[in-house]
Amino acid sequence: MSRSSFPTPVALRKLGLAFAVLAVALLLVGRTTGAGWNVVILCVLAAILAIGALTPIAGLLRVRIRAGAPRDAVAGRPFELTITASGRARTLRLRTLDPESSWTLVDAPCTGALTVLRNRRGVLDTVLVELRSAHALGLVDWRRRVRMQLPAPIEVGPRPERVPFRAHRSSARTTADALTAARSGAELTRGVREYTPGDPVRLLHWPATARAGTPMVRELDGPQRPRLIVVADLRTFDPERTAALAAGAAIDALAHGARVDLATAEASGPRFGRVTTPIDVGRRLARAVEGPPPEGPFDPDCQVLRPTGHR
Amino acid sequence: MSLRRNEAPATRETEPSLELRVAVLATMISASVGLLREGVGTSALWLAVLAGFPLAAFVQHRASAKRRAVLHVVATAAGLAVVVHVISTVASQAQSGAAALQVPLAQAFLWLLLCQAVDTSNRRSLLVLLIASPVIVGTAGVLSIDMALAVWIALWAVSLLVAIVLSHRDEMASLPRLGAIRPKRSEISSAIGTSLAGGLAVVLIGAAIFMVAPVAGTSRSLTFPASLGPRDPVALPGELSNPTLGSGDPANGSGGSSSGSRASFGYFGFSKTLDTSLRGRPDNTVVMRVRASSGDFWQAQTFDRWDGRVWTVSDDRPTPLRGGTSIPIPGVDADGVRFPDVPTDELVQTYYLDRDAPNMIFGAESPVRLYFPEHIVFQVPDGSVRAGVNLYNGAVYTVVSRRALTTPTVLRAANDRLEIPPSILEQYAAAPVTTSRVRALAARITAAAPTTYDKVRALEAWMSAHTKYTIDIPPLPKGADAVDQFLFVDRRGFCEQIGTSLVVMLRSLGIPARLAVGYAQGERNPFTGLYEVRASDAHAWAQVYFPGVGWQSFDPTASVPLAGDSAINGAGSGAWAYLTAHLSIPRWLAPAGSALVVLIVVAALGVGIRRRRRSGRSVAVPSWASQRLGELETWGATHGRARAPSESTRRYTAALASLDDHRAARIQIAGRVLDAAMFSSHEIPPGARAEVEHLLAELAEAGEASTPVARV
Repeated sequence: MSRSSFPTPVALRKLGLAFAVLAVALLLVGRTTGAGWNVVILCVLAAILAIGALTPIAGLLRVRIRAGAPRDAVAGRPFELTITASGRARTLRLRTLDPESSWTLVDAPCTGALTVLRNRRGVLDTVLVELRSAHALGLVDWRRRVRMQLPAPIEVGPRPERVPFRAHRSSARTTADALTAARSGAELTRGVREYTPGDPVRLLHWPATARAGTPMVRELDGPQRPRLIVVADLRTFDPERTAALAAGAAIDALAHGARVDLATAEASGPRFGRVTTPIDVGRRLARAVEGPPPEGPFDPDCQVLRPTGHR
Repeated sequence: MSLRRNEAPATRETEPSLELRVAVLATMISASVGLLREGVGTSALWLAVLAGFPLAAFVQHRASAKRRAVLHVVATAAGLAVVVHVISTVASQAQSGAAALQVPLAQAFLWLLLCQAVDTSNRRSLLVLLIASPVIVGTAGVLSIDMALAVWIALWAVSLLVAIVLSHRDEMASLPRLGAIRPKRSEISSAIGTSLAGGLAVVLIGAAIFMVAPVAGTSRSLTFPASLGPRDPVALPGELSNPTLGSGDPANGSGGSSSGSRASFGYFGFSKTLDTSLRGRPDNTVVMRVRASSGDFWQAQTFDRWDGRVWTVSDDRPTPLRGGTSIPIPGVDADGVRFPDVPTDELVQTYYLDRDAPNMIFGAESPVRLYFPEHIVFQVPDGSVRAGVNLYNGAVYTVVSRRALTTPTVLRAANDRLEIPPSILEQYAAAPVTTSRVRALAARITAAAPTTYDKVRALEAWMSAHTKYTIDIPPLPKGADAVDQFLFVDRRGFCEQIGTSLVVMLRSLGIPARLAVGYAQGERNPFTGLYEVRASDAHAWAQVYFPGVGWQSFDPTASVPLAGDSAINGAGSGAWAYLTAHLSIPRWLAPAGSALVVLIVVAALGVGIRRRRRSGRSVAVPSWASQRLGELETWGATHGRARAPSESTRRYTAALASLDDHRAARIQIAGRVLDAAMFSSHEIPPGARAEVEHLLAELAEAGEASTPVARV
């Protein structure tokens, strides 16, 4: 559902103002000199002003705007909305107010990308679009604002601030090998057994095969991965920075192969859950609000990070 | 981080649009030529305008930044010189009044604009010229007294409209554009189309505004134009001179030099005598134009002595009146006393002579001030004013009259409040030379009328009903009384017979009356705001004295309203009638024109609707199926399974099914539904659509990717 305002006049532009003043002056001169031609010229100017004042309304009412939006965005980083203007209208100016964009010229019908920006994270259910027109004479500016309800929100995550991930010694039952393997995505060898048809050739263990005289393959264990719990408590002096630090920590840990859980507060209440990709991190933190996150108790083997905006 | 705010596109950068420069140039030239031909243009100024504006536009378009800097300095220096010249001109001519400054100031303004044109590197400075153009054409409007300016106003309006459209497009073009850039050819044709449609709209809306716009008036006049051509004194100061009468010129009798026959536009009433037995009327030549906020009789003089055939002036000894820029015109004994409570208005009339004229100063009743280039004029005892010089074509003077705003109520009450002065009764109400049946007729017609005003109206009504206005009347028989012949024999005549009859009958009732001559108001030109007075408007009418009010004009043949009743509803009142009368426009064109306008509006609406439908078709709105498939593709791409270019929908959804075990079957079904929706001719059941929507919503809910689409 979108809410659209009726066009309203915003400003008499400089040229329009000049013509209006001149029209009044011509009337005064006509009234004091009896110059009939001045009334004729006044009527020409008044007609031009009337056309300049009314034609923008038609364009603003005729145009229909559709916007395609990405699901994810990052605060402070421009992203693009796909704007489609249908109907017939010339020299319209369009911008979005939230997220904000600069003015763009629209000659409907047309389709194009509009670069927009939102400086704060959050979930955008609506996009506020402002259309302006002074078509065709550029004398009077009219404005129409439309607040579009998006069927699915744009989740604007925080702009991550890099927080280097370091595996906690006490929490690691893993060895340095395990960490390396986890980082590289490799598995650990638990033992060897005899080859059975269907085993991948790459699992052949050649020294054991040589010793046993029959093909032997490795038996593998899943990687032992470090685990990080990021508690994003936004009830701080600077919640945006806190969210940015939490995002940075989570993303860096994911890059190092760690399993990451995020503890946040959402509008529906505290939420604890695993995140697997930077997009997941961004979405979770986009929805995070200033409230108490789940406080545990957490697995003592997990590394728990509580970023604050006062680092 | 923030995006650049480009709300006000730059106007200081060099203007690249040649089209805009040409449109501004056309605007300036059409406005300037309109002004120059109103007597403002010296040959140097003509040359400067016709060559200077195009040259300046060309140089500015081609000049480098360095040259532009030089041009800026040159233009500034020249502009300062013009300003100094203007100041010295104003100082030297300040005492001559505002009207005398009009032409020098207009010339200086044009020179200033030429300086500005040299320095028009960017759009802002071009817009300054555009804004100045209405001032130029407005100045031409003040000076113009004929229809020739219409052509230049039309050219100016068209080029102004085109320039405005182009300027706005240029301004908008500096913004980033959504979507593909249109070809320039399409832009230009679109601008032309917009200008044509705008031009038509300006004509229609402008005409509508013109019909209701306030009338240009002179009631609060600030300028009182006055100018003379060659100064040619009359033979005797204060003597009446009328060269248009040829050998009939009254000045001939006292040493005048006029000879030959009467001019076709000459009126025999502008003399010392008015012989009602003379026949023939002046032609339709426009003899003068009068700028005034309302019409009136433009009176020249009055006659008070009647001998049965000829009117004469009993006393025309001139008294000199002196003044400076303006000359006060005092009241005379013949005006009597005016009640202070009778409301009055000031009617400022500027007379532009189109033909040589008598040296009579025309004016509505009662003139109080005269703006005339000569500092001395002459007044005769009836209050009429004469110039000491002959008045030729091109002479201009301004008269301010203070009219009593009379209404029937005021006039009916006048005789009850004050006695008529004996001197006026003696001069204007003595028993006239006429027949007894004329006296009897007057008494019979007015028997039931209680007041002087009612008596006058009764006589007017009788004459309207029983006599006929025509210029084709038989000669007056020798020895016949002109009034008796008109009222009882011919019953046909023109203004001299009708006016004289009214005066004589009133005098026979003891009511003071006299015959005035001059011009009827003429035809009002709604465009110039001037009354165009033709020689055929030369007129004679009756004036009746009302104590406390003064002389009041009455005329059964010319419908000139009382001063208190006169009003023009709108500036454009009578515009169509004027155009049809003077531009050979057939009368049937008015309804045909209205029908054409309706037709154009309907056609425009039809074209608009068709275009709108076309544009609706031309924008390919993605179908429901392709939108849903797009969402599914986005979901697949974020899960590492983008759709291959050659992959069918079914094959792709089968691949996607392997990504989500729980929804595998539903994803495959969704693929079949979408495939059928896009390529089958069968309608997809709403249930199947809903299932697809539900699946996509589930995928989105599960935190998977999709692309929302919002619609305004």
